Amino acid sequence: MAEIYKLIHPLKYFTDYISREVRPDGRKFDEQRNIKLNVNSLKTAEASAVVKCGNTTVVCGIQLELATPKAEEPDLGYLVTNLELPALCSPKYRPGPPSDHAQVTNYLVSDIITNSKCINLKDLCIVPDKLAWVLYCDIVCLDNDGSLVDACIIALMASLKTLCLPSVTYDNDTEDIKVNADIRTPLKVHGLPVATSFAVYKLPDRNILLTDPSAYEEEMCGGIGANFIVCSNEGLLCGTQKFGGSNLLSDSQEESLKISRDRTNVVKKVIETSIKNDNEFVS
Amino acid sequence: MPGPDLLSSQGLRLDGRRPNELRRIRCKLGVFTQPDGSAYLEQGNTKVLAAVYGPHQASKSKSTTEGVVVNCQYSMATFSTGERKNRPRGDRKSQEMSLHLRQALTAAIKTELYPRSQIDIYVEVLQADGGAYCAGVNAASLALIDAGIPLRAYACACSASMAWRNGEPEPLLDVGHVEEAAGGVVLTVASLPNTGSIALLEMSHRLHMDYFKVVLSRAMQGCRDIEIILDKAVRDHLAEGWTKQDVVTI
Repeated sequence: MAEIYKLIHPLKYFTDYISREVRPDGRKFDEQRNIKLNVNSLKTAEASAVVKCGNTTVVCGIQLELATPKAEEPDLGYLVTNLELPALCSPKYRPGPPSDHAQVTNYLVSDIITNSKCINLKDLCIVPDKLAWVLYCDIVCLDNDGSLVDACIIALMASLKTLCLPSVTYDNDTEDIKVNADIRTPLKVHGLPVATSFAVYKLPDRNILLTDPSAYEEEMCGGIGANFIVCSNEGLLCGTQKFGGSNLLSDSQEESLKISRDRTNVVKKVIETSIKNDNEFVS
Repeated sequence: MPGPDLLSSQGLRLDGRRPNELRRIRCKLGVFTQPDGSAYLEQGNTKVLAAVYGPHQASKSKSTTEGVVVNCQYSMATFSTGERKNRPRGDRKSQEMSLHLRQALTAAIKTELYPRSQIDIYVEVLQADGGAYCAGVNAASLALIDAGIPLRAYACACSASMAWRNGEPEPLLDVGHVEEAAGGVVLTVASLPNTGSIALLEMSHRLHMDYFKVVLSRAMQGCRDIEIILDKAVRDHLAEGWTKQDVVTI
């Protein structure tokens, strides 16, 4: 019955729930979905993580390559993030070249990582002007059920935190490169950027802020890319955006900052626990 | 034919398996909520995901009255191989694999039931350790069942290779990446074991005609073994009482 009601009156169905202070999946407005995280699940990548936020599933794999640094920045390495939204993750996507949404989200994720300064690119340089690491961070979305950016950042940070760089010796005269995969040093990660998505739903008298929206809620609140995303690294904001959709009120903005601060602690605990479990499993 | 040394003197393979032994297969149906059907399959270290959307209305240009249009896409995640792949899909190899997937799965699907419709099957390889195509077919088969699409039989794929032991030919089942890379013949068979028919057959390298039969029969045996595993997975899944309607989060 509810299914039919939803099809015939999609808007009223949603508003009925919201006006009773509950969301269609039973959550409260400020309640986020469960996070499940598994690190080092892929053996072909140097570091990897699978994360599930509710139904949204994202895999991140990091692979290493050596390259010459850019001439204008001889002491910096490269950090390349790439997000893929293959057609299998949602019925809305068609096979073919990356959609606009995929490209925008991709830029958003790489901007957040660059702005948060969680990786010092100087750490990736081996010999200035000669040799540097390229970190290819490939993120694949397997199931897109909303709040994609949050899941991507968690997967990416969990992978970066487990990444160990092999030691490299470079002979200046012969230009001989020796990589020793047995001696590894963990990559320095400064802080932990955490993104929190909100959907803003407009009721006649007020605006409602929905934390960690599902794909269905995103669709009801202005469609693709209309989320309000707050990203902070240790208290410093490093990416905040709201494109289109309903307007945001300044008091809900304060509320959102508080929620995102709480979420940071949760995510931190999830990542730490997951890495600890993995280390115990290995030893 | 002095092929590479794939069998030890004890008759064990490079990864410690016996010649007629499959790698461990672990699979799960209904792993995602967005697609109509999905499955995850692990065959040794090869890990693949399959998602099925449809049947839905086909676009005008593709639509036929004869049967459903099966659209397959095989893609390998950039981190699936040791060396980074720059193009996860659309390169020659992926296109060829997509085509082969379609050929094998069209044989299994009762295409005549859905004229003017389309089924999309997406296969994503997360980790490739040899036999990614075979794992893809097996996973897609499970995803089709999860989506509730009528099939003639399970479509199962398996590969086989050839080795020598004390001068006797000994076919190897379910070839891993190390054995693939060592050279030697790899015969890939996609079949409907229930009906005994072969949907797709592909062989690389050279093999003497006299030995073809033994290698093929071993690959077919592998397909039959895989069918038993898949069937068990489907039954277990259904026994859980898990139907799609239960978890739909409105």
